[in-house]
Amino acid sequence: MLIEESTDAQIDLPTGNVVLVIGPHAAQEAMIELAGGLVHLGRVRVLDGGNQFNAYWLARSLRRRSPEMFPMLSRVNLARAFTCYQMETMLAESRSLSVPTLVMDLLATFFDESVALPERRRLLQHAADHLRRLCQQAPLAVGARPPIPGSERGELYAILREAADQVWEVGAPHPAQPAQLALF
Amino acid sequence: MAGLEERAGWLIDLYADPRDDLVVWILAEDGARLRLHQPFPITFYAAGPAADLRELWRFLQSDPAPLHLARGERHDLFAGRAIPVLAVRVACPADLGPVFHRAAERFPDLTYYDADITLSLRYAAVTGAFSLSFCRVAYEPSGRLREIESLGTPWELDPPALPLRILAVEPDVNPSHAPPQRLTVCCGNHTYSLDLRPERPLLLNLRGLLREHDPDLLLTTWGDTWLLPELMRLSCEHRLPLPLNRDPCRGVIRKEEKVYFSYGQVIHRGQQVHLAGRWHIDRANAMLWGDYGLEGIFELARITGLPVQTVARTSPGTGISSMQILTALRQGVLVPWHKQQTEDSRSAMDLFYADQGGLVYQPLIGLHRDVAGIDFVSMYPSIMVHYNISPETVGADRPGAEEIPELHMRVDRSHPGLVPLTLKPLLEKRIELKHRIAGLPAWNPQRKRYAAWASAYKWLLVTCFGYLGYKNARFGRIEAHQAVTAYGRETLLLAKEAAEEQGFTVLHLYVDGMWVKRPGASQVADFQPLLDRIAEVTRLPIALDGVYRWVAFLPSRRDARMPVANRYFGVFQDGSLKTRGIDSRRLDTPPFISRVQMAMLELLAGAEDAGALPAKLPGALGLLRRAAADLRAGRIPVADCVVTQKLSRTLEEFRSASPAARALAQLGAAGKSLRPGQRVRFLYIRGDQRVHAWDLPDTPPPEALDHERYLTLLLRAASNILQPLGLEEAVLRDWVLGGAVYLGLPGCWRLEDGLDPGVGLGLLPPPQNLPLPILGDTGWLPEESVRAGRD
Repeated sequence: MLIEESTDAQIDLPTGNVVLVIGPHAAQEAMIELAGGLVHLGRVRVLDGGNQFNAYWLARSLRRRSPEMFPMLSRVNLARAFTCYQMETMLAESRSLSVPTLVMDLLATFFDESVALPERRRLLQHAADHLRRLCQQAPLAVGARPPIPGSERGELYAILREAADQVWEVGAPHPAQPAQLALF
Repeated sequence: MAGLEERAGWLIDLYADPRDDLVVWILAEDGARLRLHQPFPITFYAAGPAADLRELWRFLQSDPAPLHLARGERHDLFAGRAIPVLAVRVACPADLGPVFHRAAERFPDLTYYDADITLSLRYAAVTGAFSLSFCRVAYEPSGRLREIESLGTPWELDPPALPLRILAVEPDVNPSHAPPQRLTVCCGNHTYSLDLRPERPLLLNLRGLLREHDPDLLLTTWGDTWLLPELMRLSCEHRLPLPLNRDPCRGVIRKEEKVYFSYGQVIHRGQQVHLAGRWHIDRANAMLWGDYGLEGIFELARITGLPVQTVARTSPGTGISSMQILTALRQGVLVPWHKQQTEDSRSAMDLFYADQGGLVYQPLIGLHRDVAGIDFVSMYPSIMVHYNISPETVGADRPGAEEIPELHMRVDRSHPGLVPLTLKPLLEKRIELKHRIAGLPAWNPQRKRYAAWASAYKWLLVTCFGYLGYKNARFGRIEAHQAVTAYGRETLLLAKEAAEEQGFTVLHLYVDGMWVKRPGASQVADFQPLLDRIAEVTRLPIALDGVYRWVAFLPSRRDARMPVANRYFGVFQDGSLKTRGIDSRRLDTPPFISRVQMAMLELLAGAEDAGALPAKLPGALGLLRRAAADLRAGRIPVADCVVTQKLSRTLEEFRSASPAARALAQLGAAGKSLRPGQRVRFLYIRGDQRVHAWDLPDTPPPEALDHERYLTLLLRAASNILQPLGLEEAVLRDWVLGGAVYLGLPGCWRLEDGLDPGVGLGLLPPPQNLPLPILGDTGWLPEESVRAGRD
C-alpha cells in the first residue's frame, strides 16, 4: 500500500496485524500524522526508538483537526528507548492493551554497530515476537527506514519484515495540480 | 612484617597477567621501578529467573578456569532494592573476559553486572590505591605484593610530585601530509636527530636510547597513528627487537581506530598503541591535549581511577562514568553490563514541558558599556549535588520528596544519590582550585599546573550533565537529565528577577550565565549586592566573571534585527578580551584571518572606555587594509590560508561537490583516505578545481590562491567585529578595496595617495553613499544607535 507523506486522511489500522510503515526518516511525518488521527478516537501509545517523536509537529497536526489540542496531547503516552537493549525491554514490558501502539523508527537502535550483530539479531527477534503479541488487542504500526539490500541493515530489516502482516510505503505527496479558475 | 621489603612510591600501571595474576608497577621514591604481582580474584554477577541461574551454575561448574560460585543478594540501583544474583568469582583476572564471554553467549537473556569494569577501578575500590596514588607497599623478595596502602586521596591539592623520565619522539612532518625524513628524540637535556633511512641504524639508536634512558613515558606526536606502528613494522622486518614495553613478558597492545557519534558530532579516534610498564601518549591522538596537556591527564587519572594511557585518549564522559562506577563499587551497588532501564511512559503534554533544555534570553543587540558577566559556578553539577539529582532519586515518590519545577515529578533528597556522591568532591576541588589560581601570581609554575587541572575538571563537570541522559551511561536516566534543566531554568529566572528588583537591565541570559548593567554601576563592588542576593535566592554558588568596559552582542548575519545567543565579544576592565561565536573561535577559519580578527580586537581593547573606541577605529582599519594588501600581494604564507573542516560523512555520502568533498576526492585519488570525524584541510585556489587538498604531495604557489575568496572571508570576519560600531561588510569592502581612509569624523574622508603599495590605488574617488559613522558632536552613542531586537 502506498500512502502520502503528509496525508490528512484517516487511515484504518487493522487490529491483529503488525503494519510496517516504511519511508525516508522512518516515515517520521506519517507516523506523527497517524498519531494525530488516532488520538481523536482515544488514547495512543507511542514507543520511540529513534528519538523521532516531535510534540510540536503533533501539536500542529492536532490544531489542524481540532481546537482541543491540549487534551489531545495528553492522550498520547510516550516512552523512548535509546539502545536496542532498552527497546527490547520496553516492548517486553509493554502490556497488551486495547490502545493503538505506534513504534517509531524501531530499527534505529538496532543499527548501533557497537553491539555485536548476532546480539542485535537476537534482540530484534525478541522485539518482533513482542510486536506480534501487542497487535492482538489493538492496532499496531511500526515505522522503519527503507532497507539497503545486501547490507547488515538489510538483514535486520528482513527480520522486521518477516514479522509484519502489511507493509505501507510512504511516498512523496502528489504535486498540487494548477487550479483552473472558473470564468463564471 | 618479617621478610618483607617496604617502599613508598607511585602506582603507575597495573594489568592482568595469566602467570602472575595481577602485575602492579610502582615508581619508588628512590627511583627504582618495581614490577610486583599479587593474586586478585574478580567477581561478576548474573540475575534472572532462578531456573536460568541454576542452569548457569551448572554450566560454569564445568568451566576450565578456576571459579567460585555463590548465590547472594546485591543492590540494584534502578530496582531500588537488593536482588538475588549468582556471584561468579574468577581467581585470575585474565580469565574474566573468556569466562564471562562463555556465560553471556550461552545465557544471553540473563542480566549481567560488574562484568566489564576496568581493572584499575576494581583495584581502587578494593585497595584504595588509585592511578598515580602515592602508596606504601610491602612485598616479598620474589616480587609478590603483600600490602598496598594509599597515603593520599585523589582530592589533594598538592600531591607529591611524580619524578618521571620522559622520552619524546616526533617526526619532522605530519605523516598524513608528507613522508617524514627524520625523528627528533628528546630525553633529559639531550636532543637527537635520527634519520629514518637507513632503517637499521635508526632501530639500533632507538633501542640504545630506550635501554639507556628507560623512560616512564614515551611521549610522541603521531605515535599512535604512524610512528609506533611504523617502528614495529621496521623492527619486525629487520629482526631487531625494540624494547617499547618495559615489561619484556608482554606484547604491545594495539587498538583499532573508531568512529562514533557524540553530542551530535561524528568523532574519529585514531588507532592506539598502549605499552606495559611504561606509558605511551600520542599528543596528536590525546583528548584535549591543547587544553590541559600532561598535567591534566595525570590529574584525570588520579580522580577517575583510569589508567594514564586510557584516560589520555578517552572522552571526559568516560572519566565521569568511571568515577560513578567507582562510587558504585564502593557502595556495593551493581554496575549493569548493559543498561536496560527505559524511560518512564509519559504524556506528550508532559514531554512538551519537560524536554526544554537550558533557558536562553536573547541578547539586546549592540554595544553596551559597564556590563557585568555573572556565571553560576558549574551550574548543572551544582544543581545535581544541591538537589540530589540521580537516577535513583528522581521519580522516587517517597514521603518528603520534593516537587521538581514543571516536571510533575518528585526528587528524594533524604539520602545522597550515587551521582551527587560522585560529583561533590569534584565540585569542591574545582572551586578550591579557582580560589588558589586567583591567589597566585602569573609567573608561579603552580598556577599553570592548577590551570591545567581546572580545565580537566571543567570538562568532566560539563560532560557529567550530558552523561545523565546518554544512552550508554551505566547510571544515566533521561528524567534526571530533564530535572537538571528544569532546575536550571528556574534558577536563572530567579536570578533574573533578583537583578531586575535591584534595577539592573538584563541584557542576555544563556543557560548558566547572565549579563546585566545599571547606570552608575561600573565597579566590582557595585555588583556584589546582586551576587549576594542571587546566591541567597538560588542557594547555588555564583561568581562574577568580570565587569566589561564594553561588550558587543552580535546580530544574525542573515537578518540584522535578529539577535544570536552566545555570540559576542567584549573587554574586561583589566583589558583582557572575551569572545564567543566569532570567526576566530571557529575551527574552519584560516589561521591568518583568525589572527587579523584578534589583532583588530586587541587594538580595540586598548580603548579605556567605549567612548574611546572611535579613536581606535583607524588603527583597526589599517590592520585590515594591510592584511588585505598582504593577501593580494601573495605575502601570506600558504600554510596560513589552510581551511580545516571536520568530515561528517564519507565521500559517497556527499550530495554536492562542496569544498570538503572536492578535497576528499583529491586525497582519494592520491591514495589517501579520511574517515568521518577526521579533519580535511584544503586551500581555496583559482581554476576549475577551486580547492587544493593540503595533504596532497604538492603545495600550490601563493599566486594560485583564490584571493577574492579569502578577501571575502577576511572582510566578513572584520565586519563581524566592526558591525556593532556601525561598519557593515559592504562599507568595509569599499574602504578596503576603494582606498578611502576613515579619519574619524563624519563626512571627512581623504584618499590614500599611494601610501599602501599593496593596495596601490593612487587617486580614487571616495566611496559614494556611505553611511556616516555613528559619531557625532554629542559623542559616542553606540547602544541607542545600533540597538535592535527586543526594544
